[in-house]
Amino acid sequence: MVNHWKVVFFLFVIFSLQVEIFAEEIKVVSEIDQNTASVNEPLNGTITITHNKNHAVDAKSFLLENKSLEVELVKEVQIAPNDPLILSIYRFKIPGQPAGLYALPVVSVNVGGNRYQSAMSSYLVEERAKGPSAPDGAAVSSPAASVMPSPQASQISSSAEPLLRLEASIEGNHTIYPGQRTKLVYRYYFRGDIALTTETLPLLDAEGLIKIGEKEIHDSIQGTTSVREIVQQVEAIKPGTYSFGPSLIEGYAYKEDPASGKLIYTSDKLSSKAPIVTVTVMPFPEAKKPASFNGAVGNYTFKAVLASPNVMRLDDEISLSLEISGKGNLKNVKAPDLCCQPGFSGFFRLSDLPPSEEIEGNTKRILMKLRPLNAQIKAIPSIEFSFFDPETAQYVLLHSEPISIAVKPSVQTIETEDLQKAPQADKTEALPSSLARPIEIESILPLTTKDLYNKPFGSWWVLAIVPLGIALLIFQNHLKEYLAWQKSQVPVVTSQHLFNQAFLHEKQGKCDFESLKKSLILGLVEAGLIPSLDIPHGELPNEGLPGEVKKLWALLDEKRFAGKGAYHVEEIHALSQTLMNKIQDVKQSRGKQ
Amino acid sequence: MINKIPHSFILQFVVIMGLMLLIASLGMFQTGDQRIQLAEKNYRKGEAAMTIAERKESFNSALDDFLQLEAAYHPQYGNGKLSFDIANTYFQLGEYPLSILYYKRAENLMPRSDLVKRNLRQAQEKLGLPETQNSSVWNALLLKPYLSIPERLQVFFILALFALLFSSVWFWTRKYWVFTISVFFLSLLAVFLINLGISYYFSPVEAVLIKAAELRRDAGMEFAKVGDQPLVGGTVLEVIDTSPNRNWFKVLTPEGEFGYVPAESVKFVDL
Repeated sequence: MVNHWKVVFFLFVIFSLQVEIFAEEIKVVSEIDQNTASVNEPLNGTITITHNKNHAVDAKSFLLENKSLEVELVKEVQIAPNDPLILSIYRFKIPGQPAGLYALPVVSVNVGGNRYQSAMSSYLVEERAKGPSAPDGAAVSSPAASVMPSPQASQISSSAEPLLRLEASIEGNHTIYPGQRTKLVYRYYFRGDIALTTETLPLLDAEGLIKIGEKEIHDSIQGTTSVREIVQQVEAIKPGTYSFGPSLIEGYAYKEDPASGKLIYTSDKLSSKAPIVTVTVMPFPEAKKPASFNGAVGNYTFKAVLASPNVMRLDDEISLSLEISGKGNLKNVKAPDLCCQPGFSGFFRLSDLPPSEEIEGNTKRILMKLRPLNAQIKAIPSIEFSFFDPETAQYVLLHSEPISIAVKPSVQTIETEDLQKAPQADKTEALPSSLARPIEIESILPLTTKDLYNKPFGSWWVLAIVPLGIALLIFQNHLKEYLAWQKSQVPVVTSQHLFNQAFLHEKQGKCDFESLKKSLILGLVEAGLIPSLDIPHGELPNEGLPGEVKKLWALLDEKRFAGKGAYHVEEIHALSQTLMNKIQDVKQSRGKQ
Repeated sequence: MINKIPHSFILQFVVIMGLMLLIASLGMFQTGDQRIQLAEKNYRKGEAAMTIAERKESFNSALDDFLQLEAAYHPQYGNGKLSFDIANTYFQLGEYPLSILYYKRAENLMPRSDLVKRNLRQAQEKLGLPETQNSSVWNALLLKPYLSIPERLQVFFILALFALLFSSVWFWTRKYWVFTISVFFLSLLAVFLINLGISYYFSPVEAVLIKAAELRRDAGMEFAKVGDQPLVGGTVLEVIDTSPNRNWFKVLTPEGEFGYVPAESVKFVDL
């Protein structure tokens, strides 16, 4: 009976869990489409219901704040091929509202006979208007069309003639140098709601040039015309002529059917083509190109600052900060190649790792690391930096001020000098070893075989010594108890045991007479023939086995004290054994009784 | 005497001592590996290289050798020298996040080494990262800045042997001074056991971001970013939790921000 209750309880738990799991599967999410939430325009919203496909959604049961809500099923999506869960997506509309942040009340619906509701969500109604956009189902060739905001519809007369025009241009120089940047610009002029069907915008691809950052989109209104400007910044890489175009956009003016929400074209195809735009990238002039020029374009100032103490020891690291400020593409400005500049080669050892760089505002700081190789060095020489100024189309040479430093001999050299007696060869050998030292970090630690292994007793296995130690202590406790017990036991000595002991050294011709006597008396006691071991042998009865023992005892005393060679142990053994056997027989027979 | 002791006692004794010897023998058998010399030779060659190509090739060869040694021997409870050398090689190749990872591993095994700290600082400076702070009272109580985990385990083992020895002597002799020494060693043993337990179960799980990653509010690319800037590779993070599919880690940044980063961007300091 108890088992039955257990089964019932188990089934109840399982059933409860299933109900709980099923309850968690149904989820209702309602939200307003933020992209279309325009002032005083009907607001489009979606309701997404995650539910088991066996539990139908009652489309007539939707309530928005306890008022009936008309919805339209958009689609049902199965989450996974073998998963019973599906997503049912419904569309709804609510009346337009003034600009501001609103909360969408809870939406409730019947699913599988139970009512579920969504959480409240917020939405923002903005000053937003219609404009060119890709109609439902139309292919959009440019991402610009799908994100393009429109001018304020309320400010543009809906009766105005639809307009669609495209302009392509370059904002900045048409002729640039490698490393220099310019901006490629598209401007859309449109009036009314335009659904774009074709957009061919090669300027945004900027083939042959490097695109810098994402395109920027700006919207504005000029009278009754809306203007969208798309700007892409580009950087020239190599000389050449780069042509883009012609660019083309096509589309239709449309209006939205308020009943069905579908778009209805209200004009013939509108089309606008922008002419070819050309960017010319000029090569840097070879004439008067400085040896130090490494591609910097713009207009800069240059200075070198010591970022470490100006007093150092030989081979100490020096941090030298080169600061380049001005107008131009600072990212492309590289550090001057110090190794090729006068006064560096042979006097300083440069780090062979790339220098660290940072740009702050219109200043770039390049931190160079170098080490003096000669204690006679008094200054970091002037550093030459050159750049190409595109405005004057000329190279500009800049020089930093020399920086005074004091280089002391290294500790090793001082020690060698102090010794004075050290041979000259030692000094010369010390130099290559110091040269071989790496810049910035200390070298590796020499490895030996033991460095490849874990430390002995250094892994978590050693914790096993705790249970093993406890086991060893317990073992010792048991052993100690056992030994104490063993010690406390009185050994049980039998007549036979004493008898054997008496003839233990028979082969050496020896007999333990005392043990033999005791064994016989003990045998008589064991056999119940005498009451106690304490009876003196002289008082033993003369009859029976005690009498025989008494006689043997007398015989033994006689032989024992008769002198050496008066008796043979074998003979005594035989006599005693016969008597002992008799006693044992009596003992056994009495034991059976 | 011994023939009076039952066989079961002898068997117990042999089993206990056998297991102790087994622990003692772990890691005792060591054989040489010529890849050590090869790796060091390649590293030195890289240091002395006169061209970028030669330098890159040499350091890459050295790295390959060092990583092979690491894969073959797994010295996660070693003395940290191999981790330090790997870190140096990554540094020389400009792989600063990975060098920070290995410097952190070396630092855990060589907590008293200034050399490791200096090089770690250099790598962090390269990435513009702040210095990692290990000098908390909690760490000091756990002896973290003074003894590595393997060293603490070694001390624990020695204390356990002494405690066992004196306890056994006291057990048979019942001398008061032996009892005092036993209690002393047992107390120290308990302190170290608690220390190791806390280190194992409660110490923060450190990891290093080996490539830049966005910190997100939840485990998925669809969730919002925490902060505008992604976390820089080489940042030392504290791993708090993992997502159910184990593809994301919930982490705490040095700035105290919580968030999720992809698991593939992170490597744990402790193996």
